[in-house]
Amino acid sequence: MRKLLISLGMAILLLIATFGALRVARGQTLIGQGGEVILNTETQDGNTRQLTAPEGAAPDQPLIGFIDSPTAACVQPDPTKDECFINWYYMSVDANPNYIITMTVALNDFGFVGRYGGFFQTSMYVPYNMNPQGYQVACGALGAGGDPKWGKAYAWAIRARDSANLGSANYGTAYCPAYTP
Amino acid sequence: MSLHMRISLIFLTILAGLLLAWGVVRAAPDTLAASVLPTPTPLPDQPAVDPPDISLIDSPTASCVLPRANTGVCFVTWSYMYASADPNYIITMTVGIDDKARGRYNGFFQTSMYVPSELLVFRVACGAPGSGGNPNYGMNHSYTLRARDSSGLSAANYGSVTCPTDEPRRIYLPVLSK
Repeated sequence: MRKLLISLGMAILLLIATFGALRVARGQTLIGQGGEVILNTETQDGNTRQLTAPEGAAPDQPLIGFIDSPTAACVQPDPTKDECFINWYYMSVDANPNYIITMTVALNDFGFVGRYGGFFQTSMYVPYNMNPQGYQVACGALGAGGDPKWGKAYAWAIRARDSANLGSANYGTAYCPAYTP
Repeated sequence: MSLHMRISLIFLTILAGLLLAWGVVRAAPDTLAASVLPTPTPLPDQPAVDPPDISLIDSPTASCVLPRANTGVCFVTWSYMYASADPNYIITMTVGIDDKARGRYNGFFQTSMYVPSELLVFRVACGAPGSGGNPNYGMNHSYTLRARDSSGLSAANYGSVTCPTDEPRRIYLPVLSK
């Protein structure tokens, strides 16, 4: 009888521990900047890309892809002016079979600087020449962005949202040449 | 059997075993050494050093153009700029002209980087005739293109471009007397 009671007690303790572990695992779900659930996130050398969904509506397999936004450029065409231009080679995202609703570009110092609206389209491609010169920013003094060889640094975010309310976002930083009059 | 007898028997057995092992080693030292320590085979030739993953930067047609005469303003540009670091990521490519940083291109989860000519336009001074050494042309501008990948490897191109000669037009105002 005593052995039976001990076994029963051990089984109950094991059950409680398992449920506790499950609750902890559920509580560790990542929450994004907009209070959404992060489905997938990757980070590399200061760059981050994420897929998000509204809380409670996360699909098993998100249909929206990571935004492809290669070559974040900051150039100073004229060294006599404190004017730099930020641009990307292109921005591209696919949400097939859902529609892409919007893609936006935000620079932390300025807020939203670009908004591209989808029109019954399942993917969106924004080439560099859709922004004639890019987004104008101040180059800044040497070391203004933390790197002594460069000027100001601008954190940026590119976000896309599809018709299933899934989101995709890229975060990075553009370092500009310094203005040295 | 008493305890003393047992201990003595164990001690005797261990001693006999040790003596036997020593005898075997002494009797055939060469063969044992040969079997335990065979002649090492010669080391293979040192393998060739793997080439780095980052490529040379492709930056064809370094140009200096004068879009508008009598302004003294020229533009340095390239047909394109391209580097690959597959399977590593490209972290940055940079453009420096006359020892001044003029452009920085940051990679974003990409193993290669292509920068089109439209993102490679840099204003420079054209210069007076002969200012670069050739009486038919203007100034020389040196440039450095660099690329760096996620494994810490880098590539660089060094060169110079010679610009057409041009200077801003001077407008001479008439001297008006009172």
